[in-house]
Amino acid sequence: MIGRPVDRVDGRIKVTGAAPYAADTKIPGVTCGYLVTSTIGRGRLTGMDTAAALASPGVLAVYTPFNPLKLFAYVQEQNDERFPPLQDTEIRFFGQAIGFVVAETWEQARDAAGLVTATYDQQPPVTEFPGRTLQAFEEVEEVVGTQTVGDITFTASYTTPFQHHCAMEPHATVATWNGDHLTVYTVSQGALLVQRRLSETLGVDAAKIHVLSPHVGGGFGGKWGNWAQVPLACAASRALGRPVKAVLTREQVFAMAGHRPRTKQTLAMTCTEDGKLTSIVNDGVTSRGLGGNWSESVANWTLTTYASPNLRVTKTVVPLNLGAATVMRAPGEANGSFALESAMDELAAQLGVDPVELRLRNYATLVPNTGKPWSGKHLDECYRLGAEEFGWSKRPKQVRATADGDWLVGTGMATATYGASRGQASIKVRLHPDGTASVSGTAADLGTGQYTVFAILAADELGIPVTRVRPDLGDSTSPAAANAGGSNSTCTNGPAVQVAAKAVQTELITLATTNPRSPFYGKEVSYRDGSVSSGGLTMSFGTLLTTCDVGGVEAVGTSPRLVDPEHGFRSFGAHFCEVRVHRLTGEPRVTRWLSVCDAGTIVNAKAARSQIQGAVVMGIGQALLEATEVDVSARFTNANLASYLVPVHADIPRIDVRFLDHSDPVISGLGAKGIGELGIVGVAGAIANAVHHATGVRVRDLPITLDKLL
Amino acid sequence: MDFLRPETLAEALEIKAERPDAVPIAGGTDVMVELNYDHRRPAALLDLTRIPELQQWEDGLRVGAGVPYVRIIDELGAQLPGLAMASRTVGSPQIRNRGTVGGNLGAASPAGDTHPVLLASDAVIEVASVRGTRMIPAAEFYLGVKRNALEPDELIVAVHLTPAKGPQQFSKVGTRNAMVIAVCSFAISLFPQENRVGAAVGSAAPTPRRAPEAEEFLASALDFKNPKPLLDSVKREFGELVSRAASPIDDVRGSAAYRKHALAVMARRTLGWAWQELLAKKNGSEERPCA
Repeated sequence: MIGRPVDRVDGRIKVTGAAPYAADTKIPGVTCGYLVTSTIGRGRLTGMDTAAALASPGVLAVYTPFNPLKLFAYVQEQNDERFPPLQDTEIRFFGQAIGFVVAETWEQARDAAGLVTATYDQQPPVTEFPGRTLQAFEEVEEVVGTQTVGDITFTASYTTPFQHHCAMEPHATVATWNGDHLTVYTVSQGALLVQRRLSETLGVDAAKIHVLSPHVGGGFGGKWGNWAQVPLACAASRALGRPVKAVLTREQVFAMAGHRPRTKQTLAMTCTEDGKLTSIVNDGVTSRGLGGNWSESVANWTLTTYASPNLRVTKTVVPLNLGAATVMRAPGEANGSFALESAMDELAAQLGVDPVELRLRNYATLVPNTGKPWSGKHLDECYRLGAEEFGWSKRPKQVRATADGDWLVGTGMATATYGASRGQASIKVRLHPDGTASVSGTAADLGTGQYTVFAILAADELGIPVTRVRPDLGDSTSPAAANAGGSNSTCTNGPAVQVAAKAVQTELITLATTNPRSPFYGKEVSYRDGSVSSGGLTMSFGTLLTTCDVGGVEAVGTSPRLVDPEHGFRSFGAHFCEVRVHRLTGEPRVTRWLSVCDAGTIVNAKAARSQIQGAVVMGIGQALLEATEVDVSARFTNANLASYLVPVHADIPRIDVRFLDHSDPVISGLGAKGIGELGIVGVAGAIANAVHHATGVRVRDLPITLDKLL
Repeated sequence: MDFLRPETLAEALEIKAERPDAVPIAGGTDVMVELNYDHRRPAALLDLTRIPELQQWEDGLRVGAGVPYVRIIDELGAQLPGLAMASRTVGSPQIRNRGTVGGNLGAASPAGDTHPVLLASDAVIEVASVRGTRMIPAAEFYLGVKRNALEPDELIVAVHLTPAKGPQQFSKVGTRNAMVIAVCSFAISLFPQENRVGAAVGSAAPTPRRAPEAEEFLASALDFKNPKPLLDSVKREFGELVSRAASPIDDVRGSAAYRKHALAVMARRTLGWAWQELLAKKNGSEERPCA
């Protein structure tokens, strides 16, 4: 069953609208909260006038830093905001939460929020990148070897803009209290992330906080953190004794719910005349929004991609008056690979070597910065299969060599790699008298296909059809499983599902042999394909449970964290693409795509293909369209989906995805590594390389827009 | 905010006379965006969707201001090919189901997709108030960025267009393939019987505007009676004159220099398509190139 294409088990309820998302939660008497946000980028609040808002119809309360809801300081370092909202008067960014209006209806709350006025002691916000900064640069370095001398030298700088996740579902939280127990329906990449943060800031025992996040309308990293609406809805609900719902507007999502930071990488590479790298230096610069702590280690992808005896990367952080920068699909790798994969293409051209050949000549058979062996690596096979299937050998060596009417045609390729690991996860499998099995863990499905992964693996281990397995995700009362982030879900949760599905068979056998009502009482039995057998008698577990009048048997299985200091773990892939650029208008269009992936065992061929395709689409956006602009007041100016352009259907060609069939037995018995982020890594580089091949124009500054190609 | 729902045009005009601050709303594809972003909070909305006169088109052609793009594409594609081409590039199917040419005119954004076609095709805008009806040529309709020639008590009732007397073309450059505001756009209409050319640019000046020098040059350079293959020099000069008619700015969608360049390209390209169509027709072929 593992590896076959399986339809999403949650597909039907999603397309019919039956799947409950956080904002759909209907609780009698629910009130609505609306955030008031700062209209300056830096300074201090000196006063707020809430009288008109409080007098407005339906308004129940207006909270501000001058009349706050008590929230304790955040303790754990996270990718979201540094400080809980409304606890101080400092303005760190434009669009920061400075007020929370709660009213009977959403319209009343929004209307009243518009009546709140604020006065500020204003300072000029810092938005230049790189440029003057509020505090000293922080430098982090990793150095391997010290030589940076070779026969051939190549140096170039690459820059990437602010980007936003743009998940379709905006951030929504509904909170309700029953005595001192809190129930929260919220968007999250992991129910436990919410529970932990709320326990800290509300001062409530985590055991009394029940988080439900069964369906999430896209996350991409933007729902890893808990943004201002989460603690405010919960604290306001406690203060008012009423349920509170708070949903960010799209503009608020852009301003306060995280973004991919701006980056600059300066790469200096040396190599021998035959193209063997002798050193790579990558000086990375990343912005950090002062709303948060997080920044990208943008140069670090250079440490693990190509063999080189000398490697040196640095990280310089530029704090800016913006909301928190946060993780966004392949944080570090998406931008990092754009620079290194572009540079490899440029170096190949300088040497007169084919770009695939240059990558093979610098193939890292050991982890470049540690010298450890890989748990499994078949990237060379990705290159070879991809090149063959794509027809790479027919590629003209010269740039601007192919035209089709007014369109210049070029092809490009790039490497994709993303780190893999296996954390600890616990999963519960329960067998029911109706013949179904449920599988539960605190994991999240953001549209990734995790529900179906649970169903497939449990069905496979129990020997029953997928349709008889009911996965339950996104509930904090379930056993602690992996959050959806870092491409970690399937590689961590998958083995735990297998352990639990095995363990429940033991529980079932115990029941069968010890329950006096059981026809197998006192006998020697075995379990196979959903049934217990002994001698000539076989009985399905549903019938057995019914016969014994037992409501179910269950087991929790735990798969421990993998501690393996001996190996390096990564998923690998290669992208090949064709791009057409209009000779006269410079419009770039991606017209052909092939991705070959080596990511260990693939559990669901269909959803896995979708996930890589989705990542390539996102990468096409990164390469050609997406950039958030910041004006002098430190406001994101194009903070909506009409002005922040993501790809539309008409921009996307057929995307061919192949998976190599190599399980990774070192990472787990299941052998699965992650694929959530892998697909976007290298996409922008492959496109930049194809654009160069088509036109002869090298763009080192994303996005590659038409005016850069004339 | 009052929501006013007249059933007839006469009723709508009376309301507009009494409440000149009422903002007309038809498809809502512009107005609702502005309301949702709180860019404006009008005292009243005047819903025009119940007025039958605005939803019809009559031979001639008089196209009601409330006819959505999807109907222009489906029902008027043969008679108004230029307008249909521009309509196809508007937003998404959902937007084309709702949005109207009347709304495009009411918003008067320099980037509105239909404006260059209306200018190049000599459209006349019929506006009305309780004081009577005015016919405003498209070339006199656009006064400034998002400003048009309507008086506060007037409503846009219809657009008058003659069925195409010759080839028409429209071209638009965007940063993605659909659902995008034009970086710049261009429309051309040929009037072979009158030895005349209409040409207009969009998203390349404070208002959509005609390119009169380019029109005159082309009318004198082309031989409509005995059409021969176009000379490159004619295409180049035409493109240059169209480009010169624009006064674009730099913005996030594109630079002024890019817009000037792209307009020249689009002018040459659409002229080539239109002329090819004319030649094909003369040679008895019905084949038409598409945009």
